[in-house]
Amino acid sequence: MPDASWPTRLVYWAGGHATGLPAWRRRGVFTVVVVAWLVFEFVMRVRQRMKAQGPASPDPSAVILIPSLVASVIAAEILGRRGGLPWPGARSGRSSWAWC
Amino acid sequence: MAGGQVWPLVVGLVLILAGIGLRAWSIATLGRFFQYQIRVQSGHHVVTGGPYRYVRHPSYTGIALILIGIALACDDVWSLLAVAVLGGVGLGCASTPRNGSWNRRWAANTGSSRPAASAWCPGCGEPAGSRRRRNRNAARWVGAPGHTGPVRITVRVRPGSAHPGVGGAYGDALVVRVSPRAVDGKATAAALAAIAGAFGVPRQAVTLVSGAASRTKVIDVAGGDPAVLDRLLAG
Repeated sequence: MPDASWPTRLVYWAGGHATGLPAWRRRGVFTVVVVAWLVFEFVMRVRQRMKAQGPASPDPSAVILIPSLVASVIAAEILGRRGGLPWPGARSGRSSWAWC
Repeated sequence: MAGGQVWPLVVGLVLILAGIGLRAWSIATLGRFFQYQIRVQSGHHVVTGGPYRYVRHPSYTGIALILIGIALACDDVWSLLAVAVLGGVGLGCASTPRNGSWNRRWAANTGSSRPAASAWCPGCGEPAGSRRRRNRNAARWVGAPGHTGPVRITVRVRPGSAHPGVGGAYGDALVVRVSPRAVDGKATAAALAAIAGAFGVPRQAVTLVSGAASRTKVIDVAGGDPAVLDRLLAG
């Protein structure tokens, strides 16, 4: 991408040069940040569990919370890849280099 | 290669990092009391410091920021709408533990309901007068590190005592002997009254923080003199 403008280069770099690969196989700032978040949550869950005292109470809200969070991320990713309604001034030709 | 719109990516990444940071702040503030599963632990108390000074569920606010960031970074308005609907349902359910044992145990441990902080963001959805109420509550709901206010003491209650009084130490706890037996909160009420008398403060100045159903209780004494506590522990 030698002649591209700097925003294009930044997005291209951040997206890990993605071309139709599933999100989890792409590399880039976005993927790194999301993976860092997941690692953070996993480490904190284990760490806080080890510090806990006393038994856990029944928590039916978790049955809704976790699936809804996973579903929202997956839906965002799929809808973003389709590009049905880009943000104002958003890129075109998404299919050739979409990174999300 | 087409030209790119960089702001959704940049703003999205910033929001994700801000959300992670907010959750880390929440964990650092609560320490062992931050749990991924609802869990009432010994010594539980309401925390009004750190991010909890501004919102009631900062960790959920952090998740909301992360989700919005992901949606923005995906660069599509539909992504944001999907996150708003799906994530909103999940977070809304999780941040309102309406049923189960949590609320009952919480009330039993603190003797009161939650402080009137905004649920999601500072000032969001606050009814008129609630900010004033929260500020007033802040003097009562002490628990955050560095929060100044009443003297917080741990007491060991001995119900059914033939010789009521306050004095002596049980480990680090102040011993409070009361006549009533531990039935229907009578011993707790008597203990609070006894402590108020020992410290020479009005009964209203003594607040049960935790341990309503336990012999070991944590209590705040507004206007209490630490020197009196030392004397009582020595006695």
